Amino acid sequence: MTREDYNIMVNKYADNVYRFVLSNIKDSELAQDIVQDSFAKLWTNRDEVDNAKSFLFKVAYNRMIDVTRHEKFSTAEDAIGTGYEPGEYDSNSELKEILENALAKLPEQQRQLILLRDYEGYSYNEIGEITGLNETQVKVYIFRARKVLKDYIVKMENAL
Amino acid sequence: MTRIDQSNIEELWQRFLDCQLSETEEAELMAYLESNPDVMAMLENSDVEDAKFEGKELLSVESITERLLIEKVEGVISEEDERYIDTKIKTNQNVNKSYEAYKLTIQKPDLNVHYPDKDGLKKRGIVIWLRPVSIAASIVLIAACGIILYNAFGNGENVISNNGQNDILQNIGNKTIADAQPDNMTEEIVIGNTEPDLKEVLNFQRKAKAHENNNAQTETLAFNTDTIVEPSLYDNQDIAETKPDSVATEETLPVIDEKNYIAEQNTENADTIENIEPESNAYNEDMLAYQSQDNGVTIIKESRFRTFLRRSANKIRSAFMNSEPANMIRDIGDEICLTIANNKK
Repeated sequence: MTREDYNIMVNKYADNVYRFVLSNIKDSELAQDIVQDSFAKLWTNRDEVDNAKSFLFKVAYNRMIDVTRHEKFSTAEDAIGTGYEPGEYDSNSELKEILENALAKLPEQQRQLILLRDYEGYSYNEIGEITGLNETQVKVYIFRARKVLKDYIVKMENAL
Repeated sequence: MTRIDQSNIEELWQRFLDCQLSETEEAELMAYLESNPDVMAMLENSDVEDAKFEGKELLSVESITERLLIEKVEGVISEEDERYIDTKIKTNQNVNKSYEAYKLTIQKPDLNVHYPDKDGLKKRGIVIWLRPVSIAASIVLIAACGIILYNAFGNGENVISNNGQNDILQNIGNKTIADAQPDNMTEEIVIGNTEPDLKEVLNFQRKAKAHENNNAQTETLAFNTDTIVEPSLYDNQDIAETKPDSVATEETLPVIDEKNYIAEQNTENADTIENIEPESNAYNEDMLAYQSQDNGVTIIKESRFRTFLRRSANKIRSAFMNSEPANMIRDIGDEICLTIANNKK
């Protein structure tokens, strides 16, 4: 990978990786740090990297895991299953906000898988390569996440 | 058939129950069980048939529908399953509602979100971009530095710098000329701007040589020849440009008949150049014609001051043309300035 190739990768994928990370951790500065780390690793490993995009997302994913291990994030089960109170969301009339809330309350791993799948259109196999999970696990986690999201949306629509 | 023992009896029994054994295998199994009644009792009392499938709810029609709906929104559904679920979506309102809800779970990135500092991520090489004018200026500067350094160190000789030349001119201009003389007089002693007076130059040179030969007492040409070196910088274009074209080099100087020249001077410029006999004490006589000594100070007649200045200018010019050393040219300038200053007093 030449310097020019690398700069092309920056133009093509910096926004994608940033959106993926930002959607997961909701901290723009931390998201920028992770994106920087990802591209720094891409540059230092440029001779060994075959698929730059997958490499970037893999590094970003692992960095997010490292970061979020030290921070407390609520899980989907906590919020959607038991913590929901209809009045809490009265002001959030827009569907977009409902979806964001639903996504934010998914378990961290399921949220990351959903974003890789929806934002970047990765296959189960590709997501498995990025996350270190096998294809079956990826599919099962994504199906569970969809079910949780759908139930949350239906519940919110009924509440509204 | 493989040998029947404790390790495979349960598998063979299960296959027997599932009617998967051949007649030969069934006969061998029955023969083994008849010879091992305890095993037969154990197998008959086993609770295999009572085992329950714990995930029956996953096999419910509702669960299958949910799975197919997810597969559809995920885009991984088979054609057969898709036909089935499409029918269900059209005919069942609840399934349709679930399908619409599943479609909403597909996340769409906010394309307005951009990484704020892409340029900071990029790797930049050393980019040198100069405009043609800058390139040309750089070349000229480097060439000039090269010439100066070559002359300073390459030849191993002393150097007269442009500053030396400028010092002389500044001394002349600053100390006395501008104050003592009209503007047109000042212009005459600026070498670069002076109209070439070839005859005067030659005459001055000739007289200077005669003066040296006769050990004249006049200080104005008392050069210290011990310090004379050949300054190579005079080959420099900058210096050459200060020379009039017609007197740029000695090789280009025309041969002038001295007698004709003197006669011409007498008629055309009688107030500036005295009638001088060649190869004699003409220089002293000439100088005394318009100046005298008073306690070591050269006194210039007021009417001849213009001539003195012209001679001074030509003296400096000829020193340049003869590639005289810097200190000598500087001495000439200082002497002229001193004379002018003394006369001004």
